[in-house]
Amino acid sequence: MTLAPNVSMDLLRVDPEQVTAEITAAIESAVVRRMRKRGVVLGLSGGVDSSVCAAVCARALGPERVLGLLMPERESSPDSLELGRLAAESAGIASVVEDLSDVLAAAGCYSRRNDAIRSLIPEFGEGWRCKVSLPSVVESDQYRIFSVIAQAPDGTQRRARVTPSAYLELIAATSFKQRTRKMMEYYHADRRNYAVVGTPNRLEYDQGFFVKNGDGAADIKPIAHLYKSQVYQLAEYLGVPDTIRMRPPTTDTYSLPQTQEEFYFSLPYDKMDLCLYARNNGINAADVGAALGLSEQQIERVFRDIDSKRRASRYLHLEPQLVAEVIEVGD
Amino acid sequence: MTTVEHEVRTFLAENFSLGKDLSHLSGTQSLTERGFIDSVGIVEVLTFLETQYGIQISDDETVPENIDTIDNIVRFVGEKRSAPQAAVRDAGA
Repeated sequence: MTLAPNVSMDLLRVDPEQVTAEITAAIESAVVRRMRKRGVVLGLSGGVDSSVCAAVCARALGPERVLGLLMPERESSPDSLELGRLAAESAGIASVVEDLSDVLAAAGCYSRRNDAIRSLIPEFGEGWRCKVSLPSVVESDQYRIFSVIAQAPDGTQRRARVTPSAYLELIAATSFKQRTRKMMEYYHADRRNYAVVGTPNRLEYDQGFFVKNGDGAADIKPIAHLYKSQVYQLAEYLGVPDTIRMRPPTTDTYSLPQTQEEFYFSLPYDKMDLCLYARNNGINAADVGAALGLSEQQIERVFRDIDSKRRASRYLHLEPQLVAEVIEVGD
Repeated sequence: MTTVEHEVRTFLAENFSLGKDLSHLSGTQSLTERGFIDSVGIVEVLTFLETQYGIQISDDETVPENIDTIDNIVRFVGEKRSAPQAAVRDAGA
């Protein structure tokens, strides 16, 4: 990536040794002293975020006090299971496979979602695959409204803009996946007296790229303050295998392959990182645009999208609201 | 106030403001910038406009210039209803 002299990816450079030391100290303090737990459980998706979390938890608590969960279901990529295993081996932690397909089917995850898609694309049926997609924020001023893309067994694709009811049903049904994973993580945590680790990076945490009480639920989120490119710096320092570090970030939620960029973020993660950093630190759009090879207007759109997602995801971050404070509860 | 503006204001009040009066909301005030409606709300507005006025809104028309304020919506609906395709459809109905 070519960058303007005053705005560069160097702004996101960290000292991985120092950052790792800060994180491991925080994990030990929170898990052992504050929560009084004996270790941690975390889901391993085969992505770089959960792999880094596994590595730092193993350093903080000892690998024997960290359990990785591999939670495939019938629509997840086979790569996720293999790379999750690799992450566990690399961190030296034990792992357990919990296939969630039957639980998800029993809850109606697949059938309810398919009904929602059929309300938009009536032909959608056996053997079809699907994903959702957003228009590019860089290419136009269009509102970022989801479309469903369905692919027939012969490879032909149909696309339909969501209706309000289909969209809400689709999200509600697919969120069974994240919530079922979290339910399983807490099962394994409770039976070991462990805490649960959440693995969002700063982009995901800030922009609401998580399901409330699904992957958004956790007792500790060790890398939520780190931009994604900083997570990659830690991954290299911690020896996370190349095959995991080279894998494009994926949602692994829908049956058609889908990148996080296509589903949620406006740009590839490294560019998105710099835009979010710039938004957080008052760097103007023209300088960011020059650095990323985009126009000032395009960066302004990304900034507006960042602000819009922050507003929309405020609810996701809210604790349950009480009418009056209960002062006896808390620290 | 035109009929379309009245209907749009009624829709917004019923769906985004628990039915409370929205007379304080000016015609030029952004519906999205202060979070009055979010991305799901935009989809609801589009569906309402398509259903209520028998118009088809293409993806490239889903831009703030057409949807972000009450004035923009009223103008956009007027333009869509007077467009040739609407006239043809109405004539065939």
